[in-house]
Order: sequence, then C-alpha cells, then structure tokens
Amino acid sequence: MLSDILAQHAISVTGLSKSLNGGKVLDDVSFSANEGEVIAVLGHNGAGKSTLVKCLTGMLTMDSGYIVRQSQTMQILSPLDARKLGIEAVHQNFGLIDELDVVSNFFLGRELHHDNLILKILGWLDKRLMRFLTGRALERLGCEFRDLDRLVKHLSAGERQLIAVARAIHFGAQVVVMDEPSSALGMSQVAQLQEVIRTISAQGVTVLLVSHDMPFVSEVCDRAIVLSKGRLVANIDIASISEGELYSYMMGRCHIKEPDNSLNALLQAS
Amino acid sequence: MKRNTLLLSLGPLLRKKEWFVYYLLVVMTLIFSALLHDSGFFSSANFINIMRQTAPVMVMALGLSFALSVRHIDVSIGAVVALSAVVCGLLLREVHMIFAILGALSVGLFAGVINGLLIEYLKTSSLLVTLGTMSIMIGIARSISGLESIPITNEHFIMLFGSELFMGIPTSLYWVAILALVAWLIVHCLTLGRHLLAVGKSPENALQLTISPVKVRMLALVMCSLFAAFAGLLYAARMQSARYALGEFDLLNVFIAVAIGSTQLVGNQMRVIGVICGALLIGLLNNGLILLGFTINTQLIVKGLVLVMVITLVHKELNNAK
Ligand SMILES: Nc1ncnc2c1ncn2[C@@H]1O[C@H](COP(=O)(O)OP(=O)(O)OP(=O)(O)O)[C@@H](O)[C@H]1O
Ligand SMILES: [Mg+2]
Repeated sequence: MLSDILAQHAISVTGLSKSLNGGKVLDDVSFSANEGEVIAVLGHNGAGKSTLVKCLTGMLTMDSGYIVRQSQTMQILSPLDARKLGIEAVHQNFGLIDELDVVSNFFLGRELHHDNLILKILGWLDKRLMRFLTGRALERLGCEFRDLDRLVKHLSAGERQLIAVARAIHFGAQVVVMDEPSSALGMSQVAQLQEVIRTISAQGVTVLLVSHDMPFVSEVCDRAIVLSKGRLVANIDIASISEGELYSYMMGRCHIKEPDNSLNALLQAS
Repeated sequence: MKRNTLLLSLGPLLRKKEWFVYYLLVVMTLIFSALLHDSGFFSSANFINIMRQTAPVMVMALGLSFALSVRHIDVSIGAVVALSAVVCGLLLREVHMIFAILGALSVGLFAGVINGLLIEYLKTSSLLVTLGTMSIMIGIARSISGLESIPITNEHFIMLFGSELFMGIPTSLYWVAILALVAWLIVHCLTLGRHLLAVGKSPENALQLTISPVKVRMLALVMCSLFAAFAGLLYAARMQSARYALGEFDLLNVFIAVAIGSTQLVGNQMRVIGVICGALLIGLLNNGLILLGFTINTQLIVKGLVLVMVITLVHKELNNAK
C-alpha cells in the first residue's frame, strides 16, 4: 500500500541522514517529488542543501535512508548510479574542468564517438556532432557562444554556470538538481533559465532547485522544502504563502526557537 | 627609448612558457655550432646521429608524460627498458621475432599493470612504489641475463628497429614518429586524452562526471611502461645486444626532456612536440659536451644543474611541492 503511494512519485527520498567529520549534516530527511514538479530547497547557509544535492548525485554516499523510484527501493552509491537513474546536477562549484574547452566539458564522461566500430572501440571523438549539440543546448538557454573552443577558465562566471546548467538540462532525463543555478547569471539569463525550467518540467522532468534568489523561486517553483541544521522543517505549497513568508522560510527562521542561535549561525556562515 | 619598447614587446613573447623549449633548442644549436665549427657538429650526419641516439629517450619521455599528466611519477621506466631488452634478446634466440617483440612489450604491459594496481589499491606514493618495482625489475634483468650482454644477431629485428637507414633516416626514428603520432592522437582525438586531463586537473570533478580516476590513472601507467618497453626494443636493436644496464642513466635525461618540454610538469595535458624537442635538446647537449671533450662526469654535473635550473625557472608551480 505504502509502496503504491510512493510509486506515484517520480522520486522519493526517505530517512536520508549523512554525517561529515562526525557532525550530522543531514538528519532523517524525507520528501517526495512528482513528475514535472519544480521544488525549491531552502535554508540558511550551512543548512545542508549542497550536501543533499551531493547525496542525490552519488558524490557522497548516504549513511542511512533510501531512494524510491518507479517502485524500486535503492541507494545511490556513486555518480554512475545517479546517472543511470536519470538524475543530473548542477553543483555549486559547476563541476567543470578549467583547462578543457566548452564542448569537451559539456560531454565530459559521455563523449560521443563515430559510428565505425573500430573508431568506437578506440574512443575516437566525434567532435563535430558534440560541438553541434553543445551549441544547440546553449542556444536553448539564450546563450550564443562565439567560440565553443575557448577554454572554460577564460569564461566569465555566468558563462561557466550556463554551461553547467545547460549540461544538466540536456542530460537530465528524469530529475535535474540545481545548486544555486542563477547566482552568477544576469537578469535576462535568469528569465531564459526560468523558461527552460518550465519547458522541461512540462516534459515531465522533476526539478530540485537550491536557491537564495527569492523572486526566481516564487516564479518557477511549485513547492518548497526547508532545511534547518540538516533537518527538514517545512514542506510548503508556494502558491499558498506570501513572498515575505517565503523569505523567512528561506532564511530558515521559522522553526528555530532561539533567535540568538540563528543569528550566530548566520554570522558564522558569512 | 626605442630599444626599451622593443624589449617590452618582446617580453611577453619571451615569457611564453610553451616557447621556452624551442628558444633553448635554437640557442643551444647556435652555441654549439659556434664552439664546434671545426668538428662537424653542424652537419646533417651529426644531427641524424644525435636523433638516433636520442630515440629511446624520446619514446620514454612520451611515456612518462602520460604518467605525469595524471600526477604519477614513474621512476621504473629505466628498469622496464632493461628488462624488455633482455627479454627480447633472450627470446630472439628461441622464437620468431614477432614473439620476441610481443614478449618485450608484455614486460611493459605487466609492469604498468603491477605499478598501477599497487599504487591505486595501496593508495600510496607512485614515486616509492615505482622505486620498488624498479629494483625488482633490475634484479630480474640481472639474473635472467646472468650479468652477460646478450648479442642480437637477428637481421630483420635490427633492420626493423635499429639504425639501419631507410630513405636516409634510421628506422628507429620512424618508430619515434609513429609513437609520437599515437600519443598525439590519444591526447587530441581520443576520449582517453580528455579523461587524462580531467583526472590530472581534478579527480573529484572527474568522479562527479562518472570518469573513474583509478581506471584512467591505471591506463596512464600502462601507457608509460609500454612506451618504455618499446624504448627497450629500440635500444636492443641499436646496440645489437641487450644488457641489464641499458637505460641506467636515462631517467635523468627523460626527466629533463619532459621538464623542458612541458609548461607544467604534473597534472597537465602532455605536449608531444614539446617533449620530443626536450629530448632532442638533451641529445644535443650530450653530443656537444662530448665533442667539446668533456668527460661523462662533467656531463652528469651539467645535466644535473640543467634539471635543477629548469625546475626552478620554468616550473614555479612546483615551488611549494611536498
Ligand atoms: N566535507 C565536510 N566535512 C565536514 N563538514 C562539512 C563538509 N562539507 C560540509 N560540511 C558542513 O555541513 C554543513 C552543511 O553544508 P552544505 O554545504 O550542505 O550547506 P549549504 O546549505 O549548501 O550552505 P550554502 O548555502 O552556504 O551553500 C555545514 O555546516 C558545513 O560546515
Ligand atoms: Mg551549498
């Protein structure tokens, strides 16, 4: 019965806990997401948002808890596991190799090869096809790179972020997890990103969005989960609350009893 | 005033690290040509001779670049050269040339796999592990050769890998060209090249992108040892004999070649042409010093100084190396 209910969701996370260096960073976090749902992950600095993203993408292995997808219960133990589940992420550090060019970064780890059997075995890169697809994916975000052969380290922070976002959207078949996808973007690029997120969610892709950008969140997200000190303290329908309330959720204020502590946490984080 | 602006505009050009090896090559050639204008240094015969002598170092340096590009230091390549040559010499007595060649190359394959497994699964220093395997391989080479030099008489083998001229160029140099092309293709056209760079730059990022750093580093070490084993074949054919001491002094030459030929010693994309030119430079230096009448003792001192100078001047990124 329970698994029937869970099976309706695109992905469910149950009882996820994770300790780092002896400190509990995630504590019994559970939530579910439907197909095509866009969920904001809110919380103050150090609440555990990035750790959640890393657990979902196999960068960190969860200490306890499990994931349910298509009524299958599993753990994500490696990035390859996550990739097989169709989970793709934009990490806070963008996950780009600075000394490689745009196209190489875009397809890093899943290079396209020529059809010829021998060339395929050798791993001969199909540079033209990769370049074409990269250009198209970036164009979709309204970003026309003059030169896809530029090394990523010579690009601006915004451009680098766009590459990471475009990559996750291009390859994320089921779930796209974005850790601060708009922090380095300009206004028009954020608008484009909103547009693309709506498009993929209409196609049934679930989006998890970690962000401090409140207008962006309230514009594009259906629901928000709030983390505070590693615990999930709220799971709210965005349409039902005001921006002001959302803002206090984002700062993780609502469920912390002593105001002094939260202030300290904020000061420490900054 | 005019001179100043010229210098200013030359400055950035001269400071380009990737050009360093080419400047040095030209400067060194000019200096030796001037010093040795009456002893035939500047002649095509001597240049061919230099290339012929440097061929094994070039091949080893290409191999070592693979290991360095993923931040491994492999000091066992000299021993792989010796063992591969000795195995080849012994097999040539018994079986067809093809099997002798395959036997020698499998020494490289085996050494690379062992090095890789030890380093990755013990999660320990590549320098120390390969120091250990170096000693093991030298020991094996000494014992199976009985400390004798094994004469190589197979004419086909000598023709194929040795100094025999084909269209005016020693056959060993064709192999250098082929292996350089292979290395270049790996770096620029194959998936492996991308993954080598990704792992060399950031194993964490590579892992995030589902590239297995362990697998890539293993492959790099195997390439490194395979190239060294190939250098063993070139040595055996040129000397027309195989000895356990082959490649003994080459480690220094190889490291100088790579240090001069690359802009960043470890964790960077390998520069095939740069490394070949670096090896050539060492060949020129050896040859020039001999023609100038310096003994091997002086050569060693000079080359040691060159290595230290290159490391401090060019590879500032190593300044805080542990
Ligand atoms: N490798 C680590 N070892 C020990 N503690 C860690 C490690 N990584 C993160 N932490 C701790 O875990 C907590 C959560 O970190 P996390 O990066 O997930 O926060 P976050 O919500 O993403 O914050 P931000 O908004 O600043 O990105 C922090 O208190 C941090 O100090
Ligand atoms: Mg974070």
